[in-house]
Amino acid sequence: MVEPLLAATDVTVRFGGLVALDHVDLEVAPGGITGLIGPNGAGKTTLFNVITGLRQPNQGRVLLDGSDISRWPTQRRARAGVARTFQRLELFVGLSVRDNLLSAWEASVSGGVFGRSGAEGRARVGEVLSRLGLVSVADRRAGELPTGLGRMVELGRALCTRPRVLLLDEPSSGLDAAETARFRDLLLEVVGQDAGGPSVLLVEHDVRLVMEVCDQITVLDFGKRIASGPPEEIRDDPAVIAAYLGDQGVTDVA
Amino acid sequence: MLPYIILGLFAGSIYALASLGIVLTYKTTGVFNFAYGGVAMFCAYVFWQLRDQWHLSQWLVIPILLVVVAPILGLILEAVFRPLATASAEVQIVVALGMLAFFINLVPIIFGGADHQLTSIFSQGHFHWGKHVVVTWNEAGTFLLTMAMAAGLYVLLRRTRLGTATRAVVDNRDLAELIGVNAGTVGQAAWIISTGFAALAGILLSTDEGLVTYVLPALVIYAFAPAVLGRLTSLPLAFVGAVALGLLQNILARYSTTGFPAKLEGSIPYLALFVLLVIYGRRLTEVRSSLRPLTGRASTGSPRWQFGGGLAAAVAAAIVLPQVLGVSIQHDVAEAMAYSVIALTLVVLTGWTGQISVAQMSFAGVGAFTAAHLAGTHGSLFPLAVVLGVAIAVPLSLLVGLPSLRLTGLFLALATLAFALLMDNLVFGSTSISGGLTGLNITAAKIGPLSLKTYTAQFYLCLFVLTIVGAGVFWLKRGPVGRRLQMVRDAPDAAATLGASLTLTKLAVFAAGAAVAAVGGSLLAVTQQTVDPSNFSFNQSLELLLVVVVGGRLLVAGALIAGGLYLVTLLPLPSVVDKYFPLLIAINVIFLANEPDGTLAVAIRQTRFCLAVLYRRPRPDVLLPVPSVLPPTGSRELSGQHG
Amino acid sequence: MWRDDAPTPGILLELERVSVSYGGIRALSDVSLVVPEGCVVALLGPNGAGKTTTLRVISGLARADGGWLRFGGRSIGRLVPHAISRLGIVHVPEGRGIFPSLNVAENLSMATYGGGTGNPDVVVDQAVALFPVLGARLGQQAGTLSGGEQQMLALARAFVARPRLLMLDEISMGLAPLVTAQLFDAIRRGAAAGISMLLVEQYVDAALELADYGYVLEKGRIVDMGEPADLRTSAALTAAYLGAGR
Repeated sequence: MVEPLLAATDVTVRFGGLVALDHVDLEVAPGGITGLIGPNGAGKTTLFNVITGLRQPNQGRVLLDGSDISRWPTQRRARAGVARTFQRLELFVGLSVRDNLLSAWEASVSGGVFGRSGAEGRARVGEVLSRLGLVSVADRRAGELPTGLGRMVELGRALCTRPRVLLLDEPSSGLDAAETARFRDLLLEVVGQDAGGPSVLLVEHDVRLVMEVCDQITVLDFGKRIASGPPEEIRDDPAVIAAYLGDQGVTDVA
Repeated sequence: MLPYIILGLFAGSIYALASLGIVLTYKTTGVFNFAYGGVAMFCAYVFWQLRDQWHLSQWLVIPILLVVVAPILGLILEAVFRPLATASAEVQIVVALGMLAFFINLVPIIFGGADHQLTSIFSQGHFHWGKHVVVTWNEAGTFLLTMAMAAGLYVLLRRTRLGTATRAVVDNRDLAELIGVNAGTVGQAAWIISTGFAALAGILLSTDEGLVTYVLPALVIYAFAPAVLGRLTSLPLAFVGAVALGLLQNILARYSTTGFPAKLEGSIPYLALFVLLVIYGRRLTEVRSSLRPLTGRASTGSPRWQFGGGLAAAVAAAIVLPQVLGVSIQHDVAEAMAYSVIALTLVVLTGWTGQISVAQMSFAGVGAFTAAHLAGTHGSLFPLAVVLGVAIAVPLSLLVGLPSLRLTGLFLALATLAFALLMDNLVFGSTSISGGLTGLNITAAKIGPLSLKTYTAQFYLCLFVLTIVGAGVFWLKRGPVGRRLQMVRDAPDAAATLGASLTLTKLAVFAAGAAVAAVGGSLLAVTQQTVDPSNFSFNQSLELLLVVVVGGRLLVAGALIAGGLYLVTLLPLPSVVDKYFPLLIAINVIFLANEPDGTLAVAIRQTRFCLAVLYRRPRPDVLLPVPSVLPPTGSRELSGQHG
Repeated sequence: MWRDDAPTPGILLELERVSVSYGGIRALSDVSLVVPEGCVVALLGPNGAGKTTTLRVISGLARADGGWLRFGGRSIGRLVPHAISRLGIVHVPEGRGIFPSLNVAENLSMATYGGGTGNPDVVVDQAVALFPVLGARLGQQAGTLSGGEQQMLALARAFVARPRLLMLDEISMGLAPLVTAQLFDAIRRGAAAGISMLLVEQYVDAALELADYGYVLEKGRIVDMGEPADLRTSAALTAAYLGAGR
């Protein structure tokens, strides 16, 4: 197997008495889309928070390209190439769409806040805006956008930082069927770009979407990893079916 | 030693009453009642009016206070804060501070501004305890009464249906509602009880310390530290902490009667508050997580036009105003412009990064006193004094900011409050620094050959600095720095995951704010000519925050309006204006705190709306609500229905 | 837009084309469902389908921005949660539906707050009869109970409140199979005693075994409904969960 680009090993997180993540391992291979699925409360968002440094795990390590980044503050991980979106939109609501992206770019380079290499930033922002189809709303205030566009802005913001690994948290929630289909195409396009496209870790409720786009899928249930493998394996995995449907499952129909 | 312990128990028990009241409303409703001291003072004045002026029996007056006055006040407070249950922490804090100012300014209007001595509600005299110890009936009575109140609260919470319901609401408000508990009623009960405790604390404190308008609220702030000891949620810890604080203070009093140690004794509660906040740090979380921060709706317009317009206005003011204004008014305008410079720091700090500071005038004071000391006698040292003031203010701000900027919202506001009161007591209260009550004079300041003695020179200097700072702030807002601040304010987690350091950003803004405030302070010193410590006290910082909120805390223009409001207090206007003006500001803040563009913007919007309705020309930009993006939490849904 | 029609006989709870939005996100679109008197209705669907939102809108924690909600023929769309609770709807929310800092007896006595009826002592006795394990822990803080015991406490409190409609949200979440079996046993007895229920469950089989009727939600819409036997073989149900068979 290829050396993983991003790896979380043996991660445990407790909230009071509750074990949110229980010795979880996760690998993201370079250059592909890895899915992370599981029922509500399985610990997916918590794992994202651990990887990005928003939450310190009680135990476990996070490795980026083999080096241990567990003790790095969030912003340093970001500059090393870890970017994410949020399930509950975290837009800079007071800024225009363009400034959302520009501020992200400025945050990702040193000296950005002092306006260093602003032209390069604006070029990058323009490129991302047009790729994501956001040009027509570029000057609208992010707080006024509907959810679907808001999710695009979050994706664009993450892309502006030129991430090496991109963590997407429920990108299709709040999108209708057409928007979801468009998002899927975009995702494949972004990843499939010639060299330099990010690897993606995708948390998603829409299992259909996950099955379509992912190369590898990891399944969490009650904070434990219960399965990991390519989509077709996961679909037939009895443990996964049990987690979603109950013990006996309904495999015969599927 | 024993007499000091008895004094300590006496003082501590009064603090305990206040701490319990503060924690009770915070726990049940999520509102930290900064106005507690104001309420206590108001009730004490009512008591004085009824007992000492109208000569009613105090055994009639106290029940009236507890059964009539306190419940009415409590219900008013509840009605003010209930609609804010889901507002951002920032709005709640600002409104609570507005309430504090409201009561402080209401009392002189209703009861006259005079201070009074009150006799104890307990009988005069004393008794002997053992051989050598004398205990006054006041001390014993206060202690016993407090114990009885605390025990009563315990029984209420543990043994009654209301108590169980209250604890249920504290545990899980939604679930309590699902079971049939009316959380609104529980909140009302908490406010009534809390205000009753405030009334008693006010009476007991003023019979001990005298009924003095500004002192009483500050004394009630003593009770904040014990409340924080219990992380604002533990009643037993708040009680124990308050008694311990009283003991500590009075035991220290035994060893220190004069000089710095004596000042330290009065500052211990503030020091304790600050230290506790720093020690708890991130472990302090608010019982209700705040929702998304406010965003202004002011027209964004063309920044280039706004920028140009502002500069043109400055030039026009420079040419025209000295011609048309009388000299003394020029001087008042100069002072107001110096004030605007300080107000600008709050626009950036509170408006753009959402950090509430009630210590900006303390930093201004650093600049002012440095100027007075250095340039008071050698006027030509003034430029050096300004630089030195900044050089002192910045490290001081880092000293405060480094440990406390990890705190958020309410707790940061409390930390700046503690800092401001410490500065008042220890630094500005020290005669060698502030020149005592008379202050220090600075009359002959010069910049190079240019004398700042004349009012016109002061006018030009202040206009120049205000233009530079205002234009600088405006320019920064449009560029990368402005975007960075907006990131950190709107969505801190997202900002961090994109590579922005929250701590560095906040610290830089805090330090820059302190530096500019210090410059503004030295300008104030030059225009006021006498630097008086009371101009840089916590009360002044509070007033500054309120006028900035009224002016519009998101706008550079808001700081100018704040200066204009300050000017009103300087001008020789009829005394009725002076009397009611601060009260109006406070009322304005209480009702319009959730309008970050300020009162003028609201007035313009309303006028445009009315005109549109009158002339039947719908204005979509005015009529359409701005759709929100984030899903609200359950509690917003819940309390939306009360509103 | 809210109307009070004559009550439909035999129908306890009725949702008609109910929509809910959180900010920009449509959480429910045109959801219509009924709970007949004395029946157990299961609400199925994957995470994020809108099951919890459906329960929240019924109990007043979320607000519908379209449609009608009627309970016992009365429109409840505008009532606040504590008023709805007093009509006899008991909602045990997701997670642990208990007050951690109250002791077990106090938690149970909360059941008497809704209608203002009932004697706390009687209520405690009834609860202990239902789950004897609670009897030994009456004075203990509820937050110190095990997860299973906490959920038993939540369920016991719901039962002794004498609900006209009991809504349970993922009561088995995070519990060991043995405890889950005990809880389901209690629910089954409650159903046998004629309590109407609206059940949200992650375990489809267990839910369908208890239910008289089921609805399947996906992305905020009802995509299938029927008797348990039919739903068990429903392609829509499987597709909703596993994304197979588009």
